Amino acid sequence: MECRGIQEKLSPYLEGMLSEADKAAVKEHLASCGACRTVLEELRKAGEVLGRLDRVEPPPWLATRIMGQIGEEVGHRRGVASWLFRPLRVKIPLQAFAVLVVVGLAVLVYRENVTRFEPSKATAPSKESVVTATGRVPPPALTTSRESESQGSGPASRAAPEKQKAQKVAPARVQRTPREALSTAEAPKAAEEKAVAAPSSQTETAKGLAPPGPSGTMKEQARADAIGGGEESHKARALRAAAPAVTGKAEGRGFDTIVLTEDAKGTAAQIESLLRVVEARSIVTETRSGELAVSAEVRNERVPQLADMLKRYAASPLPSALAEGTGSSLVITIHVVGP
Amino acid sequence: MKRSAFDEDGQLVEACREGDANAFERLVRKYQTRMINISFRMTGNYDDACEAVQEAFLSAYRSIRRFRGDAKFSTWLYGICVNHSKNRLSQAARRSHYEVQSVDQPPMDPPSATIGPEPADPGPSVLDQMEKKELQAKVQECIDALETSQKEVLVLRDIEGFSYEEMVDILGVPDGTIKSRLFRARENLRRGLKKVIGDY
Repeated sequence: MECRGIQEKLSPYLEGMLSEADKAAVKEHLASCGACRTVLEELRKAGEVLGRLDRVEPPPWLATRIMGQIGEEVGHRRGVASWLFRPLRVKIPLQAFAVLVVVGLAVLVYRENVTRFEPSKATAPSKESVVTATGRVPPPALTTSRESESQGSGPASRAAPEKQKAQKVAPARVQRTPREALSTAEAPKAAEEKAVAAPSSQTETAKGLAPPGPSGTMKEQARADAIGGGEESHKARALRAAAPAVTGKAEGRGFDTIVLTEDAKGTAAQIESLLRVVEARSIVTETRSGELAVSAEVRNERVPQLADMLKRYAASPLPSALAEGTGSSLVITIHVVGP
Repeated sequence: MKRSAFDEDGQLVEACREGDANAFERLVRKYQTRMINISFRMTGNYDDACEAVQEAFLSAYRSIRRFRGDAKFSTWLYGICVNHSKNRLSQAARRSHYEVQSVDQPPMDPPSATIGPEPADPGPSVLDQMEKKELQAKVQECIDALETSQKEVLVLRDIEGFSYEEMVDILGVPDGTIKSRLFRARENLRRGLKKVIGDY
């Protein structure tokens, strides 16, 4: 065996870890090789040197410092645990306070944004708000939010007699301006009426009747503004008279409605012919302060038919409730308002 | 005797798990000397050894609940110590690239258990002590020059006297690997000592 192979086995040889065969081979080689004997001696001495190395002592503060750090760590852990798992006497007031803060914030946010919710409330019809001066119930489209507010929607106001409500309603209606009426309650209804009148709009225009489209609506508003500004014209009186129902109102056994048109005379003539169709009596067309008013006596059962026919002029609808009872009649006045 | 020490450690470990800090302090005081010697011989620096031992005990305390008890507590603890010492070694290697050793503050010498105040009775002279100290410093240099994997087996076996079985538990490597590393470490140390000291 060569020296290199023997020298690799010298360390286990010193520890007595070689097999008997390897041990014998190493012994045999060492007996004849001085270099390998020297290496063996150096290895033995190196082991002795390592074994004689001084032992070092830990510094006296080491254990104290270690335990101090452990104490800090345990204290911190306990602190976190006690914070997370506080007793109920601490937790409950904290949670109650948190709930109060959240509720307070919610109320504050609601108050800030309450106006956003108002319109949607106002569009909902309420029975109190639709009672007219005659004590009958016109269609919901004739109501406005202001009427609802003035009459109230609480249980107390619901319990009040209808007559009282009607008395309350009347002044409120007089105070309303046509702009308010058009911008709130009538808008959906007017759109509906325009949709109904749309198919015949072109022919009507050719005839000069000019049923009000979007531009017509704007004109109406402009006129209404002028009237609302304090001018005591017939138009203003007519509009005020009809204001509660936007353009129509029942009074006793009569009903007033307004038709806005570009050609007042032509429209008045057409309305006259319509009244004849429904066999109206006492048809009178007169000029009041430069404005045409067509009035006639219509039998109750023909009122719905007349209402249908008037739709094309975007007049306010005639309440079907007015057609109660057969045989009796109703005086209908149609104000034809020109440009 | 060993069995009773094992049982004692088991009881102390159990007490630590139940939050008894005093029990852990007893373990610290029991094992700190051997741990500081392992770490000092591995790192070659007393300060680093103190830091490594401190970190090792803190790690042991944090993970004592995970100690399963299928090995001796002492070998588990020495394994943690060896790992922290290796970490210190790699940190020191990185540090040596950027730092220059201060001349004003030389590294702290380890307090020696065998080299104490001058004894009254005739003993080794100051010269002998200086020679011994110098020799030991050169031996440590040779140990420092070894690869870490060789260093750890040399320290555990030839300096601390652990059995191969214990070393398997401490290092978590097979017996054969330990032996081959150890024999190479001894051969390298022999060559280093011959080069540094000559005829020692």
